[in-house]
Amino acid sequence: MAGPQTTFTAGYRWNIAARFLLAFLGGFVCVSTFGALAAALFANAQWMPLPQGVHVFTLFGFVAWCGIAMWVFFHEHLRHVALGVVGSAALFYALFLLVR
Amino acid sequence: MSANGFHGAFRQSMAWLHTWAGLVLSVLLYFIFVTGTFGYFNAEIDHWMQPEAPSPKHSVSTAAMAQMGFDYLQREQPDARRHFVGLPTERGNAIRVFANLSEPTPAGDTFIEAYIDPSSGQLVDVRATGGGDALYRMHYALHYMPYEVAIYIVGVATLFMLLAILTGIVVHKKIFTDFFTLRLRKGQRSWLDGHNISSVLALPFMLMITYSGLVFYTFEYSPGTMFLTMGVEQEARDEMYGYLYPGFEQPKPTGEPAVMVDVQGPLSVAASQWPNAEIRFVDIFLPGDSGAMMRIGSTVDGIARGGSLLQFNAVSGQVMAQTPDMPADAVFSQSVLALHEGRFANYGLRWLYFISGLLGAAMVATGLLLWAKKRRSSLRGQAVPRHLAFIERTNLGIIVGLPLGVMTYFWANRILPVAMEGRAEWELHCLFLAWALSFAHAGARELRRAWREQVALLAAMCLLLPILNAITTDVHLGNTLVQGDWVRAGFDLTSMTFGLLCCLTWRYLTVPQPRTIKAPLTSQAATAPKASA
Amino acid sequence: MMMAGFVVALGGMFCFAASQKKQALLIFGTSPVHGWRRLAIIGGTVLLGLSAWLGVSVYGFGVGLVTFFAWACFAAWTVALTASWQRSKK
Repeated sequence: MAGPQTTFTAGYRWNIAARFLLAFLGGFVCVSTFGALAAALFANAQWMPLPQGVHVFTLFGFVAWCGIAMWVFFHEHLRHVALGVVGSAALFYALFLLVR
Repeated sequence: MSANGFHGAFRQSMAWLHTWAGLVLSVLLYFIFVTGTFGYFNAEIDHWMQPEAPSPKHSVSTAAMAQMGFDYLQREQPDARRHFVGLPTERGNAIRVFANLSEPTPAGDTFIEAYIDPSSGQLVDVRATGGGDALYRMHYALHYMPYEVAIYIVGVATLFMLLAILTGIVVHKKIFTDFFTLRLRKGQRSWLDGHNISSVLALPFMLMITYSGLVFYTFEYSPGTMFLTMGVEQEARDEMYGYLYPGFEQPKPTGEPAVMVDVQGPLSVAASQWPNAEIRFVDIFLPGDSGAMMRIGSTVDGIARGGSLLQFNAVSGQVMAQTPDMPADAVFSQSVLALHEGRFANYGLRWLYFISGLLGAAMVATGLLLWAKKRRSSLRGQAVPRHLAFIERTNLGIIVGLPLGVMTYFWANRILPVAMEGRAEWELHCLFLAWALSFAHAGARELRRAWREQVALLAAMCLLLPILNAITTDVHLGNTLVQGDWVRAGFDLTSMTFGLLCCLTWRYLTVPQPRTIKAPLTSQAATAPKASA
Repeated sequence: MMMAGFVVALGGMFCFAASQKKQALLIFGTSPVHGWRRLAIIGGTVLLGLSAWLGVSVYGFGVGLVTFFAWACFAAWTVALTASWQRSKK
């Protein structure tokens, strides 16, 4: 943990800025694509009408968003984090295009 | 965290995230908690800030009061798109009439609003004031900025808050051992205990209030899923809201004039439907049109919002729809929103909501102070860096300055001339001016002295407010207690109670505090947990 | 009823505090023996359950549950403040 007397290098600042963007924007894209995929799957299986699925997974998405932010700021390697967030969002979106 | 990346220790990473997620937007979070907390008594604050409004005693029937309201609206705005009559309840004494106009007035107004005294049937000429609603509105719409921008700023702050709460739970490893632990006069340790206890003991409230804050603007804050599946057009939004609130569509005008049904009939139906609840409002859409619809709402006796509405054909008086069945997820989100607003709360529960809101503000405030204390204690005799000195001073401006601003708002309500142009807006200007002055004072004075002076000023303003009220109006404690106007009396008494609490705080500030805790001070402290925040 | 529910919840929280070594030392001046700790935890659970039942039976399920959480929260606060006051006396 950064102590009170930590010297903040430029690398450290960029690391934080990148993680912030990944947590905030990446988290948003991740929960949106996952929600779209799940809502489309539930609608196809006739478990829930599409608007209901969208609503339910959007409500759930706020907590998932926080979970993603926690993981982004926990994992040691920024590259893995970026791959994890962008890759999973791309995967969810691709699957969503397949099932919708 | 190392200088180049996170080393993977979960609790430490979460402690870092907890600190910064809470700290970065703490000013905004404190503002939201303080103004939102006043919102739990918005109707009561409205009543105090409108001393011309009638006192509670009247024996007029609900139907007669509703008729008074509609008579006024029919006389003043016969062509309006909507006539709304809000009836006096436990929390308000005047009849509130409201009309949405078909065309804006020359001044650009799209609605009119007025208050009627139920005892006399006369219009109450109340002073222009923001009242409790202005404070309540500020907690989600802020001030001096467009609504559309403000709700997103508040949304980001709320998301940070939720993240700070969740990480705080992870960080607090001795959550049960420290459940009742509050050690006073122990420097930094006391602030940590204060921060922990204000958040842990009110944790259900904190989680509920933060999550529900996001649910209010579900599709504004997280529209991605809806955009991907249903499209980005307005039709997608309409389809979603049509699904969530079936039967709540606005009626379409037919263009054929018609006479509205006597309100007595629908009110009798409503009274038999809700024998133990008060009728809260009667609302007519498209008055004077054959397609007009009437809605009657009662004081909510359960959690779910929208669970106490009846819809009538406003021409025939027939029931159109009785509390449309919402889908389960809509009931869930409506219940969450009702929990946030506490609409169902009786006065006992409302007070508990109010105190919980103050605990939320205390949680943010103690977090701010704890952060500064930790940095100062780590200096070990070195000169205080400029950024730390700046933050310590802004902490004062935030924590004491905002309550000073709110008290100035109440003082302005009694001091500004009643006929003043833009009076309601100037009350709010006074709030922000006082807040700005608090920051300036904190920057100009020696810090401890500045704390004492601002807390003393706050105490004086709270204690003297009932006296100012007695000088400027006749709804002072001497009268309100005799008349049984407990809303206004309660406001004055609460102000005095806050004044006394500020006096205790001032006394606490005048006693020298230990700088920091480096070693156990008592035998009990030997078992104390390490600082985790 | 508001007060009764709160008092029962206060009793429950007091029992929980008494079951903890640190708090029991402050309140009673002695550490609880194992049997008493267990009894205090059971008593606390029963009293909090009773408080929840009171809330739900009087105000209905939804509002009753909210009211119970409010009682429990302020009961815990009262116990914490009492214990800190006891500590400051010692």
